[in-house]
Amino acid sequence: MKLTGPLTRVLSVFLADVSAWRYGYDLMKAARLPSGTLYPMLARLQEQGLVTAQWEQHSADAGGRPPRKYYQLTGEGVRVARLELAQTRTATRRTTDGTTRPVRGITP
Amino acid sequence: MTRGLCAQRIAQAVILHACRGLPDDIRDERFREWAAELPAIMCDSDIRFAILRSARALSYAAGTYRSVRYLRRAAGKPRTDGRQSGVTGDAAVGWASRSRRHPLAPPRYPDGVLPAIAAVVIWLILIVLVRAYQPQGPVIFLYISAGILVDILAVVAIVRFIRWIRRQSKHPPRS
Repeated sequence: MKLTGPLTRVLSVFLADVSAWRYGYDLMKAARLPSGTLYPMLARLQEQGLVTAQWEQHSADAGGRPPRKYYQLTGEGVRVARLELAQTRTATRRTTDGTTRPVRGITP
Repeated sequence: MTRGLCAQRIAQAVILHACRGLPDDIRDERFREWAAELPAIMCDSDIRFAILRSARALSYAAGTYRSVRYLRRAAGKPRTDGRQSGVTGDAAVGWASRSRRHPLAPPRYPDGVLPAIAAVVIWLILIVLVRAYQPQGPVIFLYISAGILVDILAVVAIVRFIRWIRRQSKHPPRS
């Protein structure tokens, strides 16, 4: 899985509460992504078996609105997401630590 | 019909049009899924102004064209002419979707025409609105945003037109 910035954000949102079911607009807002980026990503994750989806059951508090489709990470999705995000964090830390910074007052 | 409801209907129509490009087996489900998000956008209390909620709903709907392109590819149904079917979809998203034409697609009209038309239309609407209603308060920011949008569209139109001319000069269409 190639971890891009938007994918990292989506996985982080999912991992914030792995038991929560999230609908598209909720994810868009939380991950600050447009619909044209989010839905292809969700479709890809679903194809890979990392995300599962289900339709909302009709309930009284829905207020007559149409049922939404909700998404949640699968068990495998949680495992892979945690692993990938941890690896990314480690790689970022390593890059940051290895960077030399110019000392103030000394011009090269 | 309120303006919010009108915007929701337009967004729904845009989504419906986008979904026409999907294979039969997933079209209905995708339309239901995407259209069901519109009430949530229109009732989003985090967006203060109704007009911004309407704009969000329309931008959401326009974004579904990009999703449709991915889902079509995933379903193994590549575009045949390098464009979505129909015209209104292009008019609605055109520049925003950053669609690239298939290199073998027959040229129908120069690239950059749609953003140019959109820029002129928005510019004319702006002029009419500014003359009719003096902008006051936060509405000024909307006018400024629309002005910036016109500028961006104009730049996109020029860039795409120049690229199109270059492409035509390198690979002239066979008569």
